[in-house]
Amino acid sequence: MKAQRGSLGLVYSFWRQRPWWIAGLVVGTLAATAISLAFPLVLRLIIDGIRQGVTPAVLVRHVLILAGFGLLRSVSEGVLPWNRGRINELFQWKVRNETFRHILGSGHSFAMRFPTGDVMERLDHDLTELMWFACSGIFRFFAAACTVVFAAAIMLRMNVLLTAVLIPALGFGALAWVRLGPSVVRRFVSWREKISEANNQLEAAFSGIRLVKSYSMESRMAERFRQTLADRIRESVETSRIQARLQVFYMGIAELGILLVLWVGGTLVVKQRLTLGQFVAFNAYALMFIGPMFDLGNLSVQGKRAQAAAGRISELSAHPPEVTPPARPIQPEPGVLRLERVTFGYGGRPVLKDVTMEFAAGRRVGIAGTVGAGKSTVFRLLFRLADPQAGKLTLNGLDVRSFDLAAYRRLFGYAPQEPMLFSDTIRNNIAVGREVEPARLQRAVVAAQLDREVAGFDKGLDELLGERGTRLSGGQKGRVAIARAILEGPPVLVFDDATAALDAETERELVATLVAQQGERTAIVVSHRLAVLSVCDYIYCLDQGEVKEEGSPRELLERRGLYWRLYQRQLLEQELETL
Amino acid sequence: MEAVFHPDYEVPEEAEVKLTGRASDYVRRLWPFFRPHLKLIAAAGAMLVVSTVLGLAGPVLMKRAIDMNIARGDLRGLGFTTLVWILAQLGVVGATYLQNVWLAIAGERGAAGLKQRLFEHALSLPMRFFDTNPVGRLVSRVESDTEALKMLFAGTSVVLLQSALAIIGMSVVMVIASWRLYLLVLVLLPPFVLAFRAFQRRVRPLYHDIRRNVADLNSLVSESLKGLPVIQVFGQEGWFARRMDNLNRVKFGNEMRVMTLWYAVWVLVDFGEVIGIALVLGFGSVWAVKGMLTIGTLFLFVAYVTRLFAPLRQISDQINVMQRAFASAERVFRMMDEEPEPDGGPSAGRLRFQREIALAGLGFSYDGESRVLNNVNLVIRRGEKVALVGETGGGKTTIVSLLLRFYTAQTGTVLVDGRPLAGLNKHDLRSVIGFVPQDVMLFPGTVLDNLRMLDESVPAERVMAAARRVRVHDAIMRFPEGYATNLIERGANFSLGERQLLAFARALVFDPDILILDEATSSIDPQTEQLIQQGLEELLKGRTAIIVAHRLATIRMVDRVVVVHKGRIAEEGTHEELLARAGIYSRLYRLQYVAGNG
Repeated sequence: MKAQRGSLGLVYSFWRQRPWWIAGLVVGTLAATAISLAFPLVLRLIIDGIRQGVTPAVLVRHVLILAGFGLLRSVSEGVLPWNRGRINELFQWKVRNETFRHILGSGHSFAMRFPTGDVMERLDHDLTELMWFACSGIFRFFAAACTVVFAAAIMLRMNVLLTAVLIPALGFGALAWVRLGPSVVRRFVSWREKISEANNQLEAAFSGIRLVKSYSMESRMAERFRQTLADRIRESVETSRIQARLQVFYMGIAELGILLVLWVGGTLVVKQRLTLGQFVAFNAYALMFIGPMFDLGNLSVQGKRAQAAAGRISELSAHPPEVTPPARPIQPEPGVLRLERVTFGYGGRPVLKDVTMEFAAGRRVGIAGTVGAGKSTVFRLLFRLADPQAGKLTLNGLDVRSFDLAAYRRLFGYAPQEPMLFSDTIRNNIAVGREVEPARLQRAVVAAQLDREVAGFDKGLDELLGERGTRLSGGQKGRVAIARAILEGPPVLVFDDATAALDAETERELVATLVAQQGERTAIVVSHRLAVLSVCDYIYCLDQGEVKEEGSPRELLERRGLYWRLYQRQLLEQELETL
Repeated sequence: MEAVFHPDYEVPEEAEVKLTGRASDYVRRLWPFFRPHLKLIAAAGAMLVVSTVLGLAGPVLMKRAIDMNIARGDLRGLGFTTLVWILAQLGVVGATYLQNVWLAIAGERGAAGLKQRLFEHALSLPMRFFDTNPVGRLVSRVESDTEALKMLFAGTSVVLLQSALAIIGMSVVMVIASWRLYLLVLVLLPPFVLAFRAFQRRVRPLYHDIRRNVADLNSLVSESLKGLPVIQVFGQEGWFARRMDNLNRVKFGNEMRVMTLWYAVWVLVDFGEVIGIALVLGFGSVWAVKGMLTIGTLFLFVAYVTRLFAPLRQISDQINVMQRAFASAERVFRMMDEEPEPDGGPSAGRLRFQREIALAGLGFSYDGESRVLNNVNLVIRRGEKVALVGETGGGKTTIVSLLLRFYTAQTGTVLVDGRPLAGLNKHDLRSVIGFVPQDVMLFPGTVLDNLRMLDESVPAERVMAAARRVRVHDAIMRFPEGYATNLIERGANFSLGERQLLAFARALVFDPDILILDEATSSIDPQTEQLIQQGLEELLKGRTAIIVAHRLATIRMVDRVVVVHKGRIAEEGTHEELLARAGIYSRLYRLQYVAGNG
């Protein structure tokens, strides 16, 4: 929550690129101010006209002028805030796009630091808070300042004495808000804290309901909740009280202004030092001051909140990307990938220790290991989603850090363990933005054995997936992920246990067929089923981040080591299934 | 005013609720919660009448000042009018203040009563209810829906009353001052009322769309974060950025539609005011010159016309608020109408467990279709320690849940000393059982609160003695506040192993006859492991225990191992006996402790 100084840079850079918008808003604000300030002047003409007994024709003309100004005022009161609101929204749009683009280049460390809910919160509520300030907050302040300055000038011209009495009284209001504002905000914060305390209790009680019931603590939980609610009522009432006080204060200021006009102004009229028209106009100007006074005081309060929000949004963009692309990128060619004595870990905890592996063209390489052995991390490094902390990853002998990042990653077709489907059509989930001919897409669908399901959907490939669409079974999801991976016939195909939801026989067949189609290209297979791994010609056996064994599946079985034990384990599981 | 455009985004609801009752039904059911605060509400209402009526006095007094005092040069009269003005305004300010504060108090108390009642009711509901309702939904029911109902009582009703009073009051004054001018004003009103309604009708679906847009944006963010590796490997950052851009564009379009509508109405109202003022001044000034009315009356009308539209709008806005409040009422009462878990008869004090627990022919299914338990028979004698083992999903946890009477078995019964569970008071039963669930649940509050489960009749000494016995006392005392330390974020200030020990201490505090333990599966370092085993040994001393066991060391501690496999009891015996049998247990054992772990 620490608000960084200068974190309103987001707002600054937005406006720096748009000087013409600033000019437009300034001119618009000045025009709108002029129009609304003219209104009481015309009112004055009419009143004084009646007093002087001018002809009805003159009066009607004045009234028409008044109506004309009135209509102009109405339009400007609509158009100006509409434009401010529009710019608020455009600002929000731009900042969300840019922040999201940055997030798309981030990686594991970003995810560890910012939980998903937190990112959503920042891109939604914080951004909403900031966007209001970005345009409306700033230009309302400007409009308020214009109104105050110009109205004061007009009033001074009409009557110095009355103005001299009125302005300081009203100006006091703005100052008071600057002082009162922070305490209102503080109150508000402590009230919010009580609300979240109550909500935390609700959440704890509902998520721990088994414990609550087993210890018969329902009534005690309820009692605790009652106490919290009592505190919360107190805070809430206090907040209402301070708000009511503030309202009284503002009403008081407004009424004080009118009162001064009534008494001082009325006396001046009686003494014929002020016309009745001027008197009515003064009254209108005094009323016009109230809103701006609030806006002027409000800016500092809003500014602090906006700064905190901006800080939270900037934190997302300030998080360094996981890998940096090379300054002078080389275009990669498919060939031999090697992990050379690679070590990698998260937060000091090593996940891979001194790992060496080779993935050559035309080879089918398997990786076996228990949960948490480091298999997924091998892929993370292989795709250069992260860089090794020691050792290196090479392609044809060159460190992969020297290759064009996007082109390098395009060497791979990846079917992950968790299929990672998006709420979109099947077609888009397979193509993920790549331009492909329909025939090619269809071939991938057939190869992934997805064609029969697709034919069963009303909209075929255009069937929507996810919350608002069809829910696929685990096996179907896995096959969508496979179609996505094989779509462009990648030089290196990676199966990370993508078909685990299929039954053993089907999975083996599917993987065998797809791997065979790789031909002279590379295939890397991870599976918790060792039968699937038997399609490979070389296997690395990982345990606790180290390569414990390697060799052909047959060699490994004969060695009766880790791989053999994993194999035994699987036999046991199968036996248990049948018992 | 730009900030007004942001509709409050609600927690996603299961679906739009269909209202089953009429407005009066909801109000009738809600009334008991607000009736205790009737005096306060009535007093606030009286203040409201005072402030509204006195608030109308301003222009009337101004009229008096212009026509009677200033026009005649009566300075004393002006002073008197000013004095009356001051008094009237003091009245307005004071009444407004009291009205706001009293309403806040009444509203908060009423809502708190409703929250409390709803929370207590929720806690009494059977486990099935919690299986089908996610925690977030329940929290939002107790929190947000009751807040919406508070608005109905302490917001909407007031605004409606105030607006109606203002309109009527101003009308009366205007008719008295000049019925001719009032007729002119009256002509203006109907078109505006219709315009407000039309605006509401068009804007409501747009708000709905915007809520949906925000949900879409959020799910794109969440999907992208989850699918980041795929996006990056396939080089589709650009495509996703475009998707974000498109969603932003759609949302922008909807926001602008709302905004345009909103300002159209705004401009229209302003137009209305201007036309009203022009009509009043146009006709009025001519009449004034002819002496048919005074300048003060003109002033009065100008002042009232500008105030007339706000209450009309308010009334129209409140209709929306009411509809949403009724949707909340529907959800709240649906929950209140859920049948609570049966007590199982009146309480006869803590159960005296003497001989045995017997599971006789238990059959159970959560959804009525797939059977989780099938004809389970098992007798556990007093003092015996039994481990339930088996693969995940085999039915171990279900057996435990049935013992705690969280659910009722469809066939068969659980008997405690020969008495069926269904006939025992649930609190009597649960008071002899100490339950340690798989995930250690710590709730917000102090360590002491957590260990004695908010039961203040338990002396702190007993809690400390229990903590010492399972050796977690030192871990607690390393915080300067010791047992008064507040647990942050579900006990994040304690390590995983320490939290497990806290759960043991908690069970020990209540000295239960029967211990039901669902062992945690997470692996811990060997040192902590040993601490936990020692703690467990301490906890088991002299008790009957049923343990869903995952650790070999735990299995070695018990008298009998029961293998639960595919919803039935497949094997029973000691660890050695079962190993020798070379059946399911021996395979489970080998799976877990021999193969795989390097």
